[in-house]
Amino acid sequence: MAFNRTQRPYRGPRRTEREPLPNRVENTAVHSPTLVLFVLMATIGVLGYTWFLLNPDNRGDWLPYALVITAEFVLVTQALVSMWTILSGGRDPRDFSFHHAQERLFDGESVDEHNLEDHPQYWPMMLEEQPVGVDVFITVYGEPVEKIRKTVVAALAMRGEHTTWILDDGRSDVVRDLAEEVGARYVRRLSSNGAKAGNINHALTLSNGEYFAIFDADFVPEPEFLYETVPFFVDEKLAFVQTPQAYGNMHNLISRGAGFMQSVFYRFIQPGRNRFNAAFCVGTNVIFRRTAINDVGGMSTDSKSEDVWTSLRLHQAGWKSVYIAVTLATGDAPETIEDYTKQQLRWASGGFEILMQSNPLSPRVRLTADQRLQYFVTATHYLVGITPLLLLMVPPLEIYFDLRPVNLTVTWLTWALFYLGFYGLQILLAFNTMGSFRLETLVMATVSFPIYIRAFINVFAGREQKWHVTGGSAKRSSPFNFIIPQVLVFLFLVLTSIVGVYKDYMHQTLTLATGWNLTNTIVMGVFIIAALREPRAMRLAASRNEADARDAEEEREASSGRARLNPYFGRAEYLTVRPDAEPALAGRRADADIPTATATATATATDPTLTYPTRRSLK
Amino acid sequence: MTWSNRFRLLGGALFVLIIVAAATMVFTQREGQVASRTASFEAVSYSVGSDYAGTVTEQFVEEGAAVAKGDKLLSVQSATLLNALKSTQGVPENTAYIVADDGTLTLIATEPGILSKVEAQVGGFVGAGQTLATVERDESIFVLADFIIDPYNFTRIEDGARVEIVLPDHERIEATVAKKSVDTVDGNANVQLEVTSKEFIVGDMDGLVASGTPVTAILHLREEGPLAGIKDSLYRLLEQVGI
Repeated sequence: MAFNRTQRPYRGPRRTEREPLPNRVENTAVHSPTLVLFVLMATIGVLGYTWFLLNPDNRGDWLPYALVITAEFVLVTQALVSMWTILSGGRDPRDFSFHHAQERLFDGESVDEHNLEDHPQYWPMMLEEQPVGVDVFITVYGEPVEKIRKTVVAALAMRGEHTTWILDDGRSDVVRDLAEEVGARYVRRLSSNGAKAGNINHALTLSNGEYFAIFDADFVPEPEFLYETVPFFVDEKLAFVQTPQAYGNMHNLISRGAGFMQSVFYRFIQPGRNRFNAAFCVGTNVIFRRTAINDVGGMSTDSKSEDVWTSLRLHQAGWKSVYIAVTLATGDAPETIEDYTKQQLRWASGGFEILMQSNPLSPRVRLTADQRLQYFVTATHYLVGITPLLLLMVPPLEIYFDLRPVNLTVTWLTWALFYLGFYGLQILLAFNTMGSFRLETLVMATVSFPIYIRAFINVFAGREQKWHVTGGSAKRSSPFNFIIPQVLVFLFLVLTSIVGVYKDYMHQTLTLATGWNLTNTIVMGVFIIAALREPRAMRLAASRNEADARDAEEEREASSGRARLNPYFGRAEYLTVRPDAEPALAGRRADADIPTATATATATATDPTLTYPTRRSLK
Repeated sequence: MTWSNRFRLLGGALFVLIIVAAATMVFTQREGQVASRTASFEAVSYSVGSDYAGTVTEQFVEEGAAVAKGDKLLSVQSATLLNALKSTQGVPENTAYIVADDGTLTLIATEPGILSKVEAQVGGFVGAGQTLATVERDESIFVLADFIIDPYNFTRIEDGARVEIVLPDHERIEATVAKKSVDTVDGNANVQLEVTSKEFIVGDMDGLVASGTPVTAILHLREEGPLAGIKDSLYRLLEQVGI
């Protein structure tokens, strides 16, 4: 197979096969001029509402007024900074050098030479004419094996040569067997200190690729992940490229609420932060430069939110980060109240920890002014989650004690005008940006305050969260173990609504307080109903999964005679099959057959008749 | 759900019930009463004056002191009076003053009370018919209170309704409605009540019971609705156990 330099380097599409990349649509909203208009309108609405609230003529009784002012101060501040960040984000991080590097990422010469056209997962990658080594870490900690299988198989099949590792902190033999079966490297630690960050740091001592990607066990990467991210690293100061967390399981209230709540963050806030060099890592769907991580002494293990802390350290050390709003991995949003509670508690604790332990506004912290502001907003963001409690308490104060946040002389119409100017335009903005306004988001945002309050208290009291759940062997505990405060608040709101309706009936007038309180009661009630239905839904899902797993097992057994993926490392197999390729590839990767005690997956069959699976069969 | 969490939930639910019950009590309490917009002590008083112009020669009672019926208050030496005495017409009888032959007129208290104000000075000249002093009648002090009451509550004001008078030092005096007058503003009743009580004794409560003292009047309305009975029996229970 002689290759002529003047000819086309290799056959087949060089860019992505999906043209245009459907995910690019996500980017277009950021660059929409209408978005700018809506953000400006919403900003005017916010300022109008602020003026209305602060106008001394409108002030009512001090207690509810203080509650409203405190809540709205947090909301308005966060809203203004968010909108400013969104407006700043109208710039594509892909510059000329990125496109140039992407164009020349795959080494067409050796692809052609070794007849790898049909096996994109073995295509060598080049940056600045230098070969690139990429490790892909899949962090596992007791996830169901079917879930892990999907992720690992997809990771192995990503376009571009890479080594896939399963980093199993769950010490599961089933996962080890899975690694052997699909041909990924398997690493098991003796201890599990440092949690996920410790797991990755440990893996970094075993691997030696210049770059490493991280996927949670439930985030299934797209084939284009490396193609879309690796070219950014032509910028030598770039530490990591983060891609969004997209969810494929938005089929109940919790997962939809949790998923949509974050979509604004991933579609608008993070792209905006590129402009400030303050886009931060979210722990999965991310690719790092090894030297950058070495520079800051590994992934940060001091905290449960290793991702934000690692980003903060990298930014402090002067490294750059890039976020692209292209979905390159799809995962699972938390589906149960337990998972949701734990996830939000972890994230909120991480945010408050930054504020406590490394206040971004402190002069000791080495950040640019832009980064300081963005990290400060991140650190205080979860205060927004606490504001619903303050606002929930306002109607009961009026019902029981006749205490009103605004002066009685303020008419309904005036109030509605300014209120809609704020919330109405926010909803309109949501419609414009997200295509719809999700009630699930409203529900989840309203009912989550106990989680954030707990996170706040934990961080400030410096204590570890312990759940009062016994019987750890039980797979699922009741969601009510996690939402006692919500149930009590719901009970309080129901009783208060009854008193409110009774009072209004006696006076033959309908008050705003009763209406508002009833709305809050219904929102809380929707959540409680979801909690009541959860155990049954989980049982159904579990039995479905078991059936799926059985089917998959049967299918595998039936197809065991068929071709299998290279069990150990693609290259080794490939060299065995095609000895003529050896000179071209020899010496490129020192780790081609890295022997470590922990990499327990062993090369099994080197059957000469083995054929590589096509991309289609990998799906 | 674990047992410890069940107990937590139960304890929390009890706590919520207690909070709601207490808040509802406060609410029904307030529903049964209206606080005044403005209220202050007022008193029925009478003015003392001379029908004859002259010079004030003597003041018998200090301002603020109590006077009995017939007590001397002020003396006025009047030439006009002397002329009148010498004239054939003479001077008509008057319960408010005593006339001496030398043209001295002595004002006396016609009702017991307090000499609340003296407007003349000894040695000063006073005109005929001018008010020289004011006496607040005993047991005439009352509270004049303004309320803004919605139409629903207006029907619940009973004759002789109970009113609590809260003094500036938070002492309370029980009183009842003596008289009410109403005009309607913006669909709400602007009610003016005269509130009286046997316990209004001028000078009591560190002198706070005196005309002009601002107070808060809390008007108790007729109990209505399903909660009224419950509240009454609860109060009876509390009284029985001695709280």
